[in-house]
Amino acid sequence: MSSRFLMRGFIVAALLAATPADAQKSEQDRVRMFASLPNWTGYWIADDGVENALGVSGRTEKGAADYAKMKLAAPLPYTADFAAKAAAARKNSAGDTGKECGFPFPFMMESPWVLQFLITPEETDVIVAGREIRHIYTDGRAHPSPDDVWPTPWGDSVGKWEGHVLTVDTIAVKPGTFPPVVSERARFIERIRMVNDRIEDEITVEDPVALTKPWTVTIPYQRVPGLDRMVHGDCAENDRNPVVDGKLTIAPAN
Amino acid sequence: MATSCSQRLTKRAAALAVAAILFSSPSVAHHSGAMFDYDKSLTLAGTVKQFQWTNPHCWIELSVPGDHGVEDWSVEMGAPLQLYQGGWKPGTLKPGDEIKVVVRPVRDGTQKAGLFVSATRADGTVLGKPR
Repeated sequence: MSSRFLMRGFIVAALLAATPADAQKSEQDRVRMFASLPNWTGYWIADDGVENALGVSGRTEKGAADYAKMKLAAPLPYTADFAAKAAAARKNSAGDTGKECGFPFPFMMESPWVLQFLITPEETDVIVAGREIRHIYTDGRAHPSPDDVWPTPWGDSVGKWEGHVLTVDTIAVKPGTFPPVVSERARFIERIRMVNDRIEDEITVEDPVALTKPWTVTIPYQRVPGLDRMVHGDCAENDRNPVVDGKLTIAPAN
Repeated sequence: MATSCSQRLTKRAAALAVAAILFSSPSVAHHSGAMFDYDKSLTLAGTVKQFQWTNPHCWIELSVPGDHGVEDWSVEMGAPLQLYQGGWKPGTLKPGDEIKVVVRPVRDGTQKAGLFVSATRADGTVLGKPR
């Protein structure tokens, strides 16, 4: 056996070992896997009674919703040390003249924007109208090793289907100012499933730094009637609300 | 781990303090809506100069005849998603359309601008889907 042949063999073996498992599945397997997955097509919005029915003005009748009613804004079992940090983080967030541009996980799961669950055998993507997206890998992979994972606003998610229930494990969420304010050590365990004609996302947050015990919240979603396509947002396209002398104003049209 | 009563109270007080501050800032929308006066409404009758189907807000630029000549008003609306959900399309309004728009005017009154509430055509047709 020539050394060139041996080398070629090593290269093929190395490539096979590096190929994701899903690439080796037969098309028939993939079709079977697709058929076993639930049908969550359509567009959904968090049904928490806060901002799920905004009109054409994009605002509630009095301009500001009662955000304290949001599921993710419920009191957390903070450690005494972290409670002060969480309060400071929120204090530093946008005030009356601030602007928000996209939401991190888990807040994106209860934002005022509609969202879509795009399900394939290899991954389920949560696509929010504000252009936030989560890739939940269901191909059997694990999280990257601790040395190779980096925090992002959406974290790193791996999931598994248990029947029609998607269990998700998310780590590496960059700490921010949106509730729930937790540490970079937080781990989020979700059970996403359809209950009758609604979808529910049960989120349990474990955080050895910020919380004295795990904290669980369930966000229900209702279907958005009459919406036949995703209409995305973009905070920078035509921003006509500059801050002038410390106040939000309205700029003339271009 | 056992905690004393005073420790528990301290923790509870801390948690409540955090809960109180969590949503002191109404900024879940692109920007705060505090600039508009939600206790007032104004009906503007005029001609559409421009309809901007843009993010983060759509806008109606309206020429409104008044006692001091024609004034140009800017009417802020929601994002294209919210308009689309409400039955609006980019072609719903065209320059030259005669409409009446109800707005919540800006609080300080220095700008001819307001937040969209509803709109009707000259023949009384309500624009968009009824809510």
